[in-house]
Amino acid sequence: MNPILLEGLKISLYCTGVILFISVNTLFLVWMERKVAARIQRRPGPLHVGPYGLLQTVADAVKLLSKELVLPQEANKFLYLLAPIMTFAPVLSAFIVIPLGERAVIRDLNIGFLLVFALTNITFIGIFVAGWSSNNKYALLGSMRAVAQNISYEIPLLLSTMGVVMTAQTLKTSEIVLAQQNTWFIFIQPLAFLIFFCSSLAEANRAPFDIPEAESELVAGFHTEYSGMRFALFFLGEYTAIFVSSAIGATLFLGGWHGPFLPGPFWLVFKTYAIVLVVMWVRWTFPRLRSDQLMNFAWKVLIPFGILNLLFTAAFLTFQEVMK
Amino acid sequence: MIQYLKAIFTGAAGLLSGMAITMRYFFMKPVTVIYPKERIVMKRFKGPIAFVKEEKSGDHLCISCNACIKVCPSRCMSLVAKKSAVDGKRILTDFKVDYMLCSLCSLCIDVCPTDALKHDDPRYDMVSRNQRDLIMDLLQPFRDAKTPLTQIAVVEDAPKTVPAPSPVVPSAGGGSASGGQGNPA
Repeated sequence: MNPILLEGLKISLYCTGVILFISVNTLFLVWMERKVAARIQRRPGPLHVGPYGLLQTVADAVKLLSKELVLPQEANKFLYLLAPIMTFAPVLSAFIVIPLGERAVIRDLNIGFLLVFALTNITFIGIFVAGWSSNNKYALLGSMRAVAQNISYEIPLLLSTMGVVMTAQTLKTSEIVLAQQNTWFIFIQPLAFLIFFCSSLAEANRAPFDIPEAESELVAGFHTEYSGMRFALFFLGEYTAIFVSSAIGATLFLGGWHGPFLPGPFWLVFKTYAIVLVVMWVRWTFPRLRSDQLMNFAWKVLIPFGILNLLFTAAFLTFQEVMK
Repeated sequence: MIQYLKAIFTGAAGLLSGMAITMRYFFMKPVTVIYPKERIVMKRFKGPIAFVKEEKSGDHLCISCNACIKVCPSRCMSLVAKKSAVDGKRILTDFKVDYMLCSLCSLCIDVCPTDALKHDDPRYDMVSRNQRDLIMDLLQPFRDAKTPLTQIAVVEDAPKTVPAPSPVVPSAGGGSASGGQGNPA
């Protein structure tokens, strides 16, 4: 068979699988979020549509699909239509490097998870474009906040992962997981995990860092003017971002596919959903931070501790090298 | 520097205690009552007006004194009493409350000399598609139970003679006019 044709077939197959997974995953995560929120507030949550209300989100999605796509008159049409795709598409890229098993990686790239961080930052350009092109003051305010927030937490996010990279001596995700055969990196680098967790909350625009879409202040933030499927794309992007950052967290710190008895992919998904559960737990516990409080937290707490963690790791590794 | 670290640790402790509280709530039973399937019993709820049932005879206590009718601010009650065929006492034959008009002010209950009225059991989901269901016959349960007071024979009122139409001045060329309406002289 023609190798180019084979490659094309492979790519389309993977893409279909990933997109299918993302859709189902988002529907499930929205349901899970509503259930977790309900239980924390001592409500039963969605319950009438399907068993345990599982089909509620499906019904919501059908409703969203049938909604009118409103195009604001004053909007910049090209950018307005481009923005949802720009926020959704880069998140998909992360699935290229998430290792489900020793061999089960779509592309085991040398730069590994750095690619994910590089590409997911395009999301923020998408958010800014959305806010700008909507020609709405709330949307613009929300997207400006998103960009300001992005600058603050992206540095500690990368600093925290560098500790792991130095310990594992590689950027490849599969090799990082292999390095955690005996001990997970969360035990070697607990501080890095905490910093990573806080920053990934901010990256996914989750409470308490959901400043760009603060619904009590900014209507809905950058997606105020979006409706129907375009709004659903933002939603898909958001929940997939949560899943992706949790999956990267599980890969870097919780030993990826390692686990007893059950096959690797199950363990990775299980660990990812465990982190997602904590993310939701955090969201329904804490109130939203102000913009300046987030800056304070990121610049005065996360970055110093990130650098400290990096220095300690470097010193320890050098010490080990010398003692050998 | 020490203050900075202290602030971080106290802050982290505060966050953790907050998360502990939400985790505790997470495992508590939801308090929501899924209404049509589940109902809660409400005490101190003012139900519709009803007759008190006397313990011994199982009968109502109404003496047809009309006090409740007079005091009712929304004029939702009506009462019919007739003479007993046995001893000539006033016997209640009909007692209706229009629940659509009733404002549940409890004045009738307060004014009743024999404490014959009460608020009924809490039925907070009373609803009807037609108005007739909401006009409540308070005597009906006693009639159904055939209590002594409802079994006493009463002297039926003599059928009221329809007042004879006032003599109409026949207008010239006019047909026969019935009733007192119209036809000004």
